[in-house]
Amino acid sequence: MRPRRLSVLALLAALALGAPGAARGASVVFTGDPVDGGGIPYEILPGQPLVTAGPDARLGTADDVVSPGVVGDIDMVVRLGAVPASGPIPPPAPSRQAVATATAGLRGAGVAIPFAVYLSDGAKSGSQPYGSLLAAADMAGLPVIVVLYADRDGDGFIGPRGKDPRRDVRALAELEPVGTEVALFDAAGRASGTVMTTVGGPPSKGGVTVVATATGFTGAYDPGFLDGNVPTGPAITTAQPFVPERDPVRIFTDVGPLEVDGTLNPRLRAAAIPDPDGALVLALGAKKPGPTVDVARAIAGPAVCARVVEPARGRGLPVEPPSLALGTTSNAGRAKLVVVAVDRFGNPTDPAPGMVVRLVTDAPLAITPDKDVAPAVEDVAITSAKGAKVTLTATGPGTGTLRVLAGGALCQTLAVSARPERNKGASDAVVALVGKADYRSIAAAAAGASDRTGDGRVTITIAEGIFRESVALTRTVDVLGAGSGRTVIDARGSGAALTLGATGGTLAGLTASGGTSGVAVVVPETVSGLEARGNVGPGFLFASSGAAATACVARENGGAGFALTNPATLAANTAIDNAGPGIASSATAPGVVLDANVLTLNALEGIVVLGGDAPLVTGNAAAGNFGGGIELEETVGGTIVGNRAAGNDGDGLSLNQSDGALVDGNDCSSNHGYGMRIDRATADFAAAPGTQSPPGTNDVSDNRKGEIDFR
Amino acid sequence: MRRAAAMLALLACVLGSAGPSGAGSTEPSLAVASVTASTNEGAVTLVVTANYDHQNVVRLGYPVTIVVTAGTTVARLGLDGSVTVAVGAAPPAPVPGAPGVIAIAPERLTAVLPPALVPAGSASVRLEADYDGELLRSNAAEVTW
Repeated sequence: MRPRRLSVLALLAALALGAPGAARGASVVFTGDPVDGGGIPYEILPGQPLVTAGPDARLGTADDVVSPGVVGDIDMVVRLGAVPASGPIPPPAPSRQAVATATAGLRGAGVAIPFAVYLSDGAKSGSQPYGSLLAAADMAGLPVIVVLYADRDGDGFIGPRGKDPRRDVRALAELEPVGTEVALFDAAGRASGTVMTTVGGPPSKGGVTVVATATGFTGAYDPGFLDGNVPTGPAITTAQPFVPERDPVRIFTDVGPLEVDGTLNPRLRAAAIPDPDGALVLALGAKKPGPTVDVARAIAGPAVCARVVEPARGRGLPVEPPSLALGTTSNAGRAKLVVVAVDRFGNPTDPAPGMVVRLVTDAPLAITPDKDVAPAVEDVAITSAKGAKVTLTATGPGTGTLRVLAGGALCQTLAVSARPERNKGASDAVVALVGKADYRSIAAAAAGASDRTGDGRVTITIAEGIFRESVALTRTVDVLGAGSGRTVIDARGSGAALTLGATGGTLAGLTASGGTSGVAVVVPETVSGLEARGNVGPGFLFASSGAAATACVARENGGAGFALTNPATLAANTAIDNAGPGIASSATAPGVVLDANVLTLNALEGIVVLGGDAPLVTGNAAAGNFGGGIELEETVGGTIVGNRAAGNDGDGLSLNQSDGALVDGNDCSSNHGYGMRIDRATADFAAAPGTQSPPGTNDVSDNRKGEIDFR
Repeated sequence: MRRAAAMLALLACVLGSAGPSGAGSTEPSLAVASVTASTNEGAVTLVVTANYDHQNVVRLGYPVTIVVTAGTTVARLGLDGSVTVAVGAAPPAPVPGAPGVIAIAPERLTAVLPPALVPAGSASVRLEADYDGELLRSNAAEVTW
């Protein structure tokens, strides 16, 4: 295997240039295209105006510059299904009356969708609004990545459209790719292959529509740019449902050659949540695909389990509630749900004959219809893809779970809570972007709401939607959103999305996005169950001694998942796929406590503790990160016990000028670096009396470079 | 000076201008972060939180297996739904009708243990992949039920 490393200089150069497209002598495919002051073609979506980063140097933030006078043309077209091996660019599948059908699954198990990508001269005509095939010899052998998106909500579009805030926020899930493949252009300007999908709809309903896009890479391979694995650019693309990320650090976390039969690591993701109210209409048509993209139908695999979902609206796929937050009176105390059969990828599908699943709850809930006079347990028969309707009714305040079992297999566990109400809704203020509400802005409600219900608290409930604001809570309020991914605060790069500046309140059911940090905790308070996703900087920032987080999730943030500048306690949180470490502490005072957190797929280390005395790092799982597992630097004392620092690209546990810690019972195995790296540091490597030498009671087996590296 | 440089580096990570990845590899990554088990109606369901290179497994279809070892009994639960059990030196035998892997999500796999392993009460769980003719193995994680 060929280890590949990003070139620091190349990355810095690319970042300085603002895009991976730094090549001179651009391809013939760019003929006539607008160029920047250096003669380099702009990377513009076809038919869309040029978008460039503003003073903050990041796309997707409020200072982006849109240039309506500079519009992208068509450079590339993708088609799905059977197409001729040669000849002109064919029309999209609906016009050919040849929409392909795929089956969700792994390659070899599901049914793939054939695709062909064509270079276009961009010369549109009435019969060929996508231009004519361009045989660009300089593109021969260069890679193109085809990405599928699914029309999950069945509205005929991929991505938010700005029509309905509730639909818009749910349409964000459509921006997750459901299939990816790479192909290489030939000298005729064509590339082809087949792509798998992981999403499908019930076969009896004809599946779900998927839309294909493509992104190609132009230019030469330069060893100084991403180690010669990726052409130097600029990139060309079909229509996309978002403004693509251009920061190489976010795209190429783990870079390797773009080969047809090799692993494919780039993440072609959105630079930010698309702004449906802004100048760009980016949603891709799924019923009537635009000229550069194409559609197919994807059906789910066979039923293996069952899940509880919300009733489907329209023709879309049903979705799972992120949790069940009920009241105790009237409609607020009831949830009408549906139990559906699902395949291995969680897609709703046709049930197996005679399929019966069991619902079990330990929460104060009654499940109806109740055929067995045991309200906490119910067997439900599923006879069609529509599923079986059930109603859950709170019988009192409390918390617990609802579990869905199929033949004893635990298919789903749903968190349930029911809070006491003094009146219907028990809310002092309602915030919604449309419809009946007290406020349109969360920040306005946080500043102005009063205790109307007389229960001694100010409770603000927030409807589903993408709230484009930065919210600072400076007094004690309860802010209850509609769930992770349902109520999204998008700061658009203007400060923290949510700042907690008062103690005594409760925050729940919120996703913080687009902020210089997602959730900033600046008081000694605990946050629980929040999500921070897609922020410019860290997901969570703890800037007060005594702050804490439990059961929070940080995903895909531009900095660390969780950043501590003051001692804080993090317990049972999750950090996944962040561009920085999973947890990064620069707190210099003692009192950092990190317990039972899960850190994986982060671009740097799982945990970094820099400075500070006596950190308590116990029971964490830092595995599968692209840096090391756990790193302590310039710390004194501390307890590093019972952690898993395994399967990382770097070293498992690294002690750098750190002295006096107890390092006991850690799993530092199967890393690509050393199990332990001890650099001018001392520690006790077992809990036995006296000072123990490494590895002591720690597992340092199966590491690529060796067990222990002393420096 | 060294501390100042380190602080600057960490500050860059915290503020979002993260430096480049420390390493990269073209082979699939396999790492088990955590495993939990729950028992319901006599069946044991495992939830494996892991980096198993989901995108490339879907694309390329190379075999990935959850390997569960308790004493001399080894169960292999394939992402394709296959289930085999081997006891001691005996060759692996298919387990007809066993559910095996019931959910495949980008960072999480859910599987049902075959009946032969249920009485064990604890096991070691790791992932294996056969990629390009090379057997890749993750770290192992212990789980009890």
